[in-house]
Amino acid sequence: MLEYRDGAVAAFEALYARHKGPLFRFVLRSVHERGKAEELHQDIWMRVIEARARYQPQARFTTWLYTIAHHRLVDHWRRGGLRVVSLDDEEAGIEEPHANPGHNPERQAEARQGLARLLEAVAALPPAQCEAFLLHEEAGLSVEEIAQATGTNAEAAKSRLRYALAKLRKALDG
Amino acid sequence: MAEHEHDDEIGKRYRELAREEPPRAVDDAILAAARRELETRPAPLVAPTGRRRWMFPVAAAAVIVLSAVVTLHIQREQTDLELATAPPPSPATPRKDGVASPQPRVEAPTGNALPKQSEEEASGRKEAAGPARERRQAELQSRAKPPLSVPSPVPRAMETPSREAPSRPAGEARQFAPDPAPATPPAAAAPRAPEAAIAARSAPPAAERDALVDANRARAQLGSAAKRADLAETPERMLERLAALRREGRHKEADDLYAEFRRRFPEYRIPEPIREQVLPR
Repeated sequence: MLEYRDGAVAAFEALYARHKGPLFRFVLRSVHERGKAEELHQDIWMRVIEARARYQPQARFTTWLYTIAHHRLVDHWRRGGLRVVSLDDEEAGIEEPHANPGHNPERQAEARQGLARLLEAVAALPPAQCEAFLLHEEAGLSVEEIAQATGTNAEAAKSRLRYALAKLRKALDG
Repeated sequence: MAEHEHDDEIGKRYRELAREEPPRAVDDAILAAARRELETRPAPLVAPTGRRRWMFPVAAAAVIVLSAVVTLHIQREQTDLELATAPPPSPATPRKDGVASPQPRVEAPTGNALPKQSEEEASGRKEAAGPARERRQAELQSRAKPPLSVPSPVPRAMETPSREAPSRPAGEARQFAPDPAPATPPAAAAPRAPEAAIAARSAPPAAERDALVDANRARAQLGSAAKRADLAETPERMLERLAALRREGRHKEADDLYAEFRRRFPEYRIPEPIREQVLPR
């Protein structure tokens, strides 16, 4: 990113080639809609480009990139009427509202076989837990980096990730 | 431990899911935007990172402030120097009657005596206060005597023409011709212009003494300016003063002035016509 800030377009091309897939999947599996995911993906990269002149290497580029993605997704969810999930609610076992329209018993039955079941389980995760899981799997962020990218503390990030994994495990075993 | 292995299994199975990519059109749009950004906004000269992002604005502000302060200081210095440095007077040309041609300020009214005084003070600050005081006293004494009937052979330009009030008759003016005894350099007589004007108006000796005190005070205020002006005195001006001193017979002062002249202008070649008048005898 520093090279791109200093005028090397090839550096941005390399950066984009490395991160476009994971970021797109992160967005796609967060919003569950391809058209919206493409729009958000492009919008996130536009924000990266606009921030070029004021970019400061205070963290890993990956963390910075997914911080932008997180803020963009929060905007998206707020517009859709979804509220931000609190940790207390998650730990109390309260089901979170979810935007996944395909979350129903019939599809769960179909997903019992193979990878489709896992994909369905990921889609069924509450947004905060889904985000933590995707940041961990797609972006390769550590718990501390997930906390930094999502603007929360490490304990909360760790808890979200733990809950997400537990639910996915349950779905696979079930 | 089993839980951790289970998490790894989840991660492994997740990575077996379809690896979706953004469409080609989105890629092209993003890369084109990145190139446009570079074309419209080139790389910054100074990367604004950390503390360095404040360095450039702070340095620019400091340069601007320093430049303004230095410029103001230089302007003030120049103004002071111009005020302190009198323009070199035109060379004295003897008149037919043996009196030097008066400079323009000679005929000026008494009210303008103070500004002229500063100019002449600038040219004559070299003289000490002691001889000047003696000369003033001698002058006052000479006023009490009857006017001299013999005109002075010394050119008036070498004298201090402003000592005389313009309204004075010619005979009375001549009584201020320099006496050989109370030796005072002509240039040093400049500060006496106001006091002479006051003395001309007020006859009582007490008033004259008051005038002297006032003049001394004024001369003290102008002292620093005169010092600066002396540094700007031209060699020609010093030679004129030298010649005047020789003509007045004040050779001791002339020798001192000549030594000062040589110290300040060691390479100056004295013109032939004036050489005889200024060289030590």
